[in-house]
Amino acid sequence: MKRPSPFFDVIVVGGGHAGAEASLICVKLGLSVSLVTINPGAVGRMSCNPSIGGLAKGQLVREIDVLGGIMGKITDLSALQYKMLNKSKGRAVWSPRAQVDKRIYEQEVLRRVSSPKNLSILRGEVVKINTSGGGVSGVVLLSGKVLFCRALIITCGTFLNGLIHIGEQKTRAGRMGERHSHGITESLRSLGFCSSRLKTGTPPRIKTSSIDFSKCSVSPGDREPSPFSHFTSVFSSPNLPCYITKTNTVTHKIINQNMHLSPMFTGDVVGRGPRYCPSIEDKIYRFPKRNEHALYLEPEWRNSGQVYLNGFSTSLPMSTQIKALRAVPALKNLELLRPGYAIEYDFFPPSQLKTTLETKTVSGLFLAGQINGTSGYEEAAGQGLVAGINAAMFVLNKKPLLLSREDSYLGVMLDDLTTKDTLEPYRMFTSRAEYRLLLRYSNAESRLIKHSDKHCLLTKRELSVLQKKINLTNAMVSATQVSLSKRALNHILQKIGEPLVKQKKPIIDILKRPRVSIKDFKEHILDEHLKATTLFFSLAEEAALEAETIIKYDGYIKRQKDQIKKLSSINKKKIPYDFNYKGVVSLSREAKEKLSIIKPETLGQAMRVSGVNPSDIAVLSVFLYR
Amino acid sequence: MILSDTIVAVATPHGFGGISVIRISGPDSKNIIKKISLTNRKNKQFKHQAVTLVNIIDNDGLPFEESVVTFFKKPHSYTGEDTIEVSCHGNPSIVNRIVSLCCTSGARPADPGEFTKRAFLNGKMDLVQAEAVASLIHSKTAEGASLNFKILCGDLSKEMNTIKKELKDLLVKIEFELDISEDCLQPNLVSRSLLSLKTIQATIKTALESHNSVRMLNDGANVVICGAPNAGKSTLLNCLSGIDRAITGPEAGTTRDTIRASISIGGTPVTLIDTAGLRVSKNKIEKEGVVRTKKEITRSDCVLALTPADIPIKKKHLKISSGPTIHVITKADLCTKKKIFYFKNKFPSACIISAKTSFGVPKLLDALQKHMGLFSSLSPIVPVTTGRQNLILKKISCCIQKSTNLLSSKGNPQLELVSFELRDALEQIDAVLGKTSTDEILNSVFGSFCVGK
Repeated sequence: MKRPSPFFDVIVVGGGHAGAEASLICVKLGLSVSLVTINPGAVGRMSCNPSIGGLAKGQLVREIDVLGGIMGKITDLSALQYKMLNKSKGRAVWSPRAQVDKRIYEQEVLRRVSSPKNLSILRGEVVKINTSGGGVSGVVLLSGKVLFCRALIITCGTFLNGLIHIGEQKTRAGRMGERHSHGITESLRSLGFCSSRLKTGTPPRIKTSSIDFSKCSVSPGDREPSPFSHFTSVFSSPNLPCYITKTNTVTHKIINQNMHLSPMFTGDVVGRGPRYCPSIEDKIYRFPKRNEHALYLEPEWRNSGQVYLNGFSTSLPMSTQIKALRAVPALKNLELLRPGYAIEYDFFPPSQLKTTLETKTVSGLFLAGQINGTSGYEEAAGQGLVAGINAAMFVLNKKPLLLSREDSYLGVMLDDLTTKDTLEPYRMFTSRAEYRLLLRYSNAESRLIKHSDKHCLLTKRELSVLQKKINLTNAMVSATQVSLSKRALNHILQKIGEPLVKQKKPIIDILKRPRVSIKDFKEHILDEHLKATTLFFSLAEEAALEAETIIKYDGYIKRQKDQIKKLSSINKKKIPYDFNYKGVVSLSREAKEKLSIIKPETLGQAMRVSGVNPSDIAVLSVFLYR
Repeated sequence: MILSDTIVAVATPHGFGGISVIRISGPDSKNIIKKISLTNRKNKQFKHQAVTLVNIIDNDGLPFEESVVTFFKKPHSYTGEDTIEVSCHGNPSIVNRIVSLCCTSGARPADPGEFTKRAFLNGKMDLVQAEAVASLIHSKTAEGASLNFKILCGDLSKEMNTIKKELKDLLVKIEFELDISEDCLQPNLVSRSLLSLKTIQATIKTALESHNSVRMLNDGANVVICGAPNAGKSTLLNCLSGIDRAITGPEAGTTRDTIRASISIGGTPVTLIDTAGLRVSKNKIEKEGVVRTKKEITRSDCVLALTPADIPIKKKHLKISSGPTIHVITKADLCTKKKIFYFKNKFPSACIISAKTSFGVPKLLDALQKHMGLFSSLSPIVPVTTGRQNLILKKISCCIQKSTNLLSSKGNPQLELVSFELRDALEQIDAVLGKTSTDEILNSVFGSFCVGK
């Protein structure tokens, strides 16, 4: 059979964080890829905040890194400062974050997608998706050009019928100053998918020289940072500071007086916005008793002369934004380079997807990123990577990558997206993960290496780095089984002011004390193991920390594993795709409706669908597995 | 709906009997019986469909009961799972002890109907039966939730709800710390959390203490017989216990000390307490007797206030206790039918009896059962649920204690572990009150804190 031309194994629409990860992993897996974007110059652009990682998101980046993604590596090339968040709490919720240089980040992504021979970047706007025989066959561009493919990944971000609001002024755009895209929504709808609207916002960018930094407090990064990626070995970060200032009652009064001009309150915005990232007018409206809200001044890129005003997301008119901000002493002479704005866009409720991110009804069609109702670079990149891997597996006729709630935050996200109702942009939180204590940033490799290995997502060298770290961690855990004499132990305990022991004991017993660290056993464990390893020093240190965590959290880790065991049988039970729920008389009406739409892949997923009761699951399990 | 745990319940009607059977079903049943028993035949024990004679041992390893154990290997059992049946002496306190030993060794008290449900889920029924049970399970969900709630909690429901609310509020504050606030802790978070944990612990303690039916089932109920001198208290005690336990006589003040007799009502052990007649006396011994009577009244689960039919009834005779009280009009054998009819009209809630002829005694026993909230002997619900209540409260208390320890230890508070303990506690309550989802907690976080940069 003659192949139509031009043909690609995979076409990726959109070049944001999802699109870049998807394209690169497909190329890495040996496929030919075309990345179609309206503006090739904006590939890898960070539309909003100048940072990567954060609570729960730092863990996501770590997982992306282990599964062969680029986000962690590029962060390390562009970082301006690093900070380990939640350090004052337990180690299972520590999360790394980096402020990055947006320009370098973008350039590095572009450099990577431009170099592979098998990846062609195409300037164009997709207006139609072609299908044949229930599967995707290609796309039509606005220019009329037709492209053919086996698999298609759509990652359009906020561009689908994007509408920007600033006060009462509305502009059609995908991002400030960039054209929106029109046609994909309509094409997907004609294929039977349903869409809805969401909203998000971004704060103003202000001129650095107009800020009085003497009236701000400084927020520096960590002095001894560790890189994001497991594979970064050359690494230096300038540790540029961020600054913090506050709004005051005058600011609030000005905003209150102009509340009626915010499209969020006039009813002009139809889409629901994220509650965890509220606009300043929302914060003032909902918490009228608060006299101040913190504002974080973060550099956009090095020597940019621009600051991102985190904490002041808004869609108020530009004049109100300026007036309200000038009431803040540090911003008395403020000059606005770009106003904050709200943007509404189309998304496709992700219950129409399988956990592989392939659509349930059109084979070979994958959706990833904000089009699935999520928010955040990390969430988007993670989905892009998973969609990319699974599109490749689809083309190569191999088994898909299936992540689970117990092995990763990515797995939690995919399961949540496909089973729950999306009422607001979805962002990852650690509390969404019921097995949070197991999903640490510092053990991503041991949780996911089996997948990277099975699906060939990493180079040999990368795989060996991860394996070395796992081995080192295990070796250090075993080393703690060794008993030390009473004298040796008390020598250490005395130094750190801990109660002494009366007889010789294994190190592990002492390490379980809350205030004792593995570093206290420098000569007995660390020196020997850290000297012998060829790992980058910060990765080796992380292995030591991980060993310590495994010992200290032992009881809790066991309890979480017991919880997993309890549910494992139900999570493994598959439900046939065409199962007729309406035929099961005893199911509740709501369960019948929800399950018929969502078509869960396993009984465990069915259990998590909102509106489905345990009794429904009991009934279902009998009819499925009698 | 998790089939991987092991459940336990009494399979025979509650109460005294020749033998009682306790059924344990689930993957751990064999381990559990091994943990709580001793047997001579080490190697041959617990073969499929064979009986093994064992000694049941308490937590200290001391045997207290000889029982016969039968093992059924899956799928050849009623539920389709590994099942153990323990046949022991039919004494409620022994039965309850064995059930609670099973629970501390890893079993969970079964929900009403759960054995049948498991049989159904394990495909031990044909399609017609299965469909019938399926629709039953379904129709019982809504009703069952409220029924469970009522039965499981009874007067504890208020406390359970308070505990749940406090747990949730605390969890929201902690999740805010973990998910939103990036570094510094809210000021006073630790001290305030410790305070709320203390409050919750206190609530649990009172709930455990104040809940009578639990104690009644384990130790039996106390019923105090009191009234004016010569009202026929001792005669009633003798009548109910069926023996001449107390000396009776026509003179007022025959009984000066409290006298006890044990009987069983609807399977629940009941201690009847005969008391000295309530009157003002100068006699030292009789005075002391009255003091003791008053003490017994405050400690009782139910009071029988006796007024003889041949003496005018005064209001003060009926108001002896603030707790459950049954008005008993005695000496009905001295009355005409007309007089009895008059009493029935004037005191509709009273029991009119004659201890001499046993007239009206069955009705008095019914009334006693109702007043103490005891179910009929055929209902297996009582021991299961009360055991369950206790278990739930104790588990919650354990989680709270662990959270307190975590927050009290030096260094950075391991809030994610505290959250884990609190979620565990919530899950216990949820088993009774319905599910708290992750989204519910997140929603509260968004609702009560100004989140986001």
